[in-house]
Amino acid sequence: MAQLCKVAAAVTISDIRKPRPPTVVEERKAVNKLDELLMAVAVKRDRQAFARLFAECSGKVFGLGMKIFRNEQQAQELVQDAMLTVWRKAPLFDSDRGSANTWIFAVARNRSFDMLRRRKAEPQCVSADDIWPLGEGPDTETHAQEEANDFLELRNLRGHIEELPEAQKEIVRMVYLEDKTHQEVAAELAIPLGTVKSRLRLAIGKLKESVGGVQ
Amino acid sequence: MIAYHPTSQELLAFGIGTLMAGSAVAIAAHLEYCPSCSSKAARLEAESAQLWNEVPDNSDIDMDALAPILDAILSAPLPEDSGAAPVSSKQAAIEIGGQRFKLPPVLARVAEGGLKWLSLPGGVSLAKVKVDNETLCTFLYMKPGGKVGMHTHQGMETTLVIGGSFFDASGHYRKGDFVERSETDTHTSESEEGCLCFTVQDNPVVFTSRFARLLNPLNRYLMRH
Repeated sequence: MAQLCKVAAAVTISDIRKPRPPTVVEERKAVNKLDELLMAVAVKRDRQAFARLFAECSGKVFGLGMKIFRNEQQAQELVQDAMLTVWRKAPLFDSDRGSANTWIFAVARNRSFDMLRRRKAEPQCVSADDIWPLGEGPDTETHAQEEANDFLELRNLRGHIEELPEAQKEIVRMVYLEDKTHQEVAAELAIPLGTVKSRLRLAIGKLKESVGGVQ
Repeated sequence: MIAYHPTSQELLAFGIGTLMAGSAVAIAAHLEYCPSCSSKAARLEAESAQLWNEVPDNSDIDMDALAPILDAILSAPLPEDSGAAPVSSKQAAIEIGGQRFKLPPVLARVAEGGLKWLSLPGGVSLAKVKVDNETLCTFLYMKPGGKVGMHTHQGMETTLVIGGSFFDASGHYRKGDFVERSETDTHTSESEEGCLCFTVQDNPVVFTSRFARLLNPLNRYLMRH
């Protein structure tokens, strides 16, 4: 642990949470340490936060690996696969939908599922991330985006937008009235890209409902 | 209104990841249609993730051995798409019998490799897909007025209705329904409007050729290939 602890000690909570005027979005408190760390990785690719996340989680993943494979080498392989996925796919994490702990568990479950299937030489036509998506995929996103663009161009929705919950209203305003990209919104609000996309999708759904009967 | 759902036990096993891939695919597809099962599955998954925390830290774990993994991860280049699944030309719908059935993403993925349809007597077509080494999975199409005897002789047969509807002596099944029938159900399935389903058989039985002759054409095909 010594090597990992050295990296972790250099970072404090205030490094991760930059002081700035609180927005409505910050009402959502990342109470859990894991949530803070995962958010930092998701939003800013924070390497020190990831090192701390690794320190917190790799033992649990290793333990899960030992339970499943009963083999140290394979358990280590699971740690590698799972934590690499966490590092790469953190932006998909939707902080609205669940906790960081659940998401990381899901990543470990997905990677162990795939490992088992590879070992049993099962067909690779479908993988764990297809069965348990870790976030909004490009298909759902593209489809939702196209629907949203058509929909919003056709209607005067000012009044309906005002009725949205604050978190969703803010995203709709930034994307459609201020013309910001999803990435820009995520950076500005310090939330994962996955959360931006899901809030947008929910907002479009609500707008359709409140306008009523739109296909 | 979806009337047939997986049990809580099945959703729990799904969340932990202990189901065969074929069964997991069928449940994942059902969740695409069913918001209430989707919430339930999410809740069960979160509960399983809690148990993970309660396991005492294994003091035998050599954390120093894991440190090189951290270095390797941080020094590897990041892929350009920052984690999103690769965009593939998934077959998002199945067109058959002049009808078009939209596929939930997980089934589009399963169908991606291409489907070989076989016509069977009774106005039924079937395409087998190999998802794992134990379950027998198919896309099953019943044309309007189509009829098929789907006895399963051991184990469970799961049917997920993708579009249209069919009925048997026990009920009427529509889009999104997750139907489980066992060997005690002598189900002859029939469709008025046409129907596309994804079916999963676990414990598919291997008969000797003597008995195979006695089976209906559907089961004979399944046994042979």
